Amino acid sequence: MKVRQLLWILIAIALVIGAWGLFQRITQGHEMAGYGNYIVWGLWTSMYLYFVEIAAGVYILITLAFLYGVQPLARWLRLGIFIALVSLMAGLLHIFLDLGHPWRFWKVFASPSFTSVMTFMVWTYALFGLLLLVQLYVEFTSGDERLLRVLGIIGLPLAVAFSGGVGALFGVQGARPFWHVGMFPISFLITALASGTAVLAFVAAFLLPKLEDREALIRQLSRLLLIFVVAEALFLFADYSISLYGALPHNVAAVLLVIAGPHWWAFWIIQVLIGLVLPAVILFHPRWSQQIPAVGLAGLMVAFGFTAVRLNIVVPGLAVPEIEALRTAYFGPHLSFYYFPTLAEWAVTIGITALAGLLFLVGLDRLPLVDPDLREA
Amino acid sequence: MPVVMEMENTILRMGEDIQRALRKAVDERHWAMVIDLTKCVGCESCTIACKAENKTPPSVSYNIVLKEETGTYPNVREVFVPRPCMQCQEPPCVPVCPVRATFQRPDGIVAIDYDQCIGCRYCVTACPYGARSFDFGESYGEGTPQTPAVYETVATYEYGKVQVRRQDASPIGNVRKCHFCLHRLNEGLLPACISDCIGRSRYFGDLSDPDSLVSELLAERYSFRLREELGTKPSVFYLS
Repeated sequence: MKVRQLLWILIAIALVIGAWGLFQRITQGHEMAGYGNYIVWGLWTSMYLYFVEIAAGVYILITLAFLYGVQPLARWLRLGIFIALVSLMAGLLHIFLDLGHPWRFWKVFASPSFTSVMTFMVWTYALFGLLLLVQLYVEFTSGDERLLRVLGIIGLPLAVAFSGGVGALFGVQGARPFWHVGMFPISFLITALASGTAVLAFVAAFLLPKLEDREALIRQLSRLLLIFVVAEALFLFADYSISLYGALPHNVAAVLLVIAGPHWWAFWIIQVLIGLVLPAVILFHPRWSQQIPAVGLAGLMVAFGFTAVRLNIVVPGLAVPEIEALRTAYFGPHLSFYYFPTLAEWAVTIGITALAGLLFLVGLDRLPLVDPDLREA
Repeated sequence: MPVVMEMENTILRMGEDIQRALRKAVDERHWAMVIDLTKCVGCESCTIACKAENKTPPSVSYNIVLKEETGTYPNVREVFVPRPCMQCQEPPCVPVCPVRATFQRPDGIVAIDYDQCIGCRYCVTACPYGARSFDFGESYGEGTPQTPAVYETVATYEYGKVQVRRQDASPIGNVRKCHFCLHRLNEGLLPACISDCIGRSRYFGDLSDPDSLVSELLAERYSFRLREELGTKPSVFYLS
């Protein structure tokens, strides 16, 4: 259990860092942020997308396996639901702190505008969160399979709707060609499935007890992860190559910012090398793809690398001025077309991630997340 | 007619146009701004007038002047394009707001309800003109013994509400934008940027009134609007 001990230590340190970040956010409001009036969304919005997509991906995968009886994945429904719940919480916590008036979030329910994709998102998150709680309750109490199937049939389209819906949140922005991509809802769904599978692979390889069907589970996740990683790479290539070939200046500028801008390394090293290429090599390799630690490592790499996927959608879309002369029209704090998160922003993200990790580990220890019929290997 | 007299007449004429518009029902008005780029000298008096009127903080300016240099020395020309909010007739910022905090008034002005805005900034990303700003809570007095600066403690009258900007309260944490000085309009006064323009390059009035100065100018002169291809139908027109 060395991985788990290491995780506990990392979580403890990260929670202290997170507490400092939260203190900065509470005492300074948004003044401490690196995002501004042009790049209005930054690390927190990106991490919100990242975590809700993990929630959607894990849930869709596990629920499909459960509904169609795909073994051994189908036996891990309650674990999947719990990961989705914790991940959804981490995502929503990010966006809560990102709001100018967080305590007014209830207004989205009290006086919603249904012309906004954001309203649609908030409502589906709320329904999805409630559904997860009900599902866990049923799992831990009666375990009524018929009821769980009904709940799964309701939850599946919800999860597809909000993971694709996040893509629509950006896709509907006609004035920003980098975001105005019709296939965004679909590619976001693929990203969700890839990151969700990656988290499951990591958890199964390093954190689950050594149960009888663990090896079969890992092999299954290994194949699925490879498919999703390749699909993600295809969508990325299609998007960027068409953007560059189409030569729409705003779009080209945004793509060039990603691949050759000041943060090129976030794309080439974190997103492509760590998030796509290295995991694909491991998962394609005939021997490595069968080894539990190697598949777990591939999962960790995809999960880490995909943080850059989100940042590379949110930030470049805002970093190219709507009108070029805006760059020099007005100067002051928070008026830059360059963005790099501040220490306080990083700290909050580290803290929320650690909190999610803490909740997961405590849940794994205290809740009956493992199917009681499974025996130790 | 002497230039000064002509300028005074323009101000009086626009004032009369506003009075006439105010006598009509709100939904029969269409407030519009016309900016003559051949007269703009890029002095930013409009920016300063707006700052003074609305007491906007450091990162927020409802009006800015876009500047672009064209040509090669010695044949160089600098073009100035003042940019208030375009008050689009098809505003992309309105439908994206999840709580109806930003809305289009019957007279065409896109307004924000500060008490309703949750500060999600989705509208900022939707605006194709960079005309929306988030109030981060900064003060011009920061780094000095007087924070906030004295003039920042004076009340504003935005949207007809007497409001002093205080930490942890709206409009801090809200998105803010130009509203054509709606509070002045309702009192029969011109927007601050119109009254203070030193070159009289800015005109204001009711576009639904064929006798208004703005209607006349748009009928007589060639005009264009920013990023018209997006279909936002701005209520700010430029003469060139």
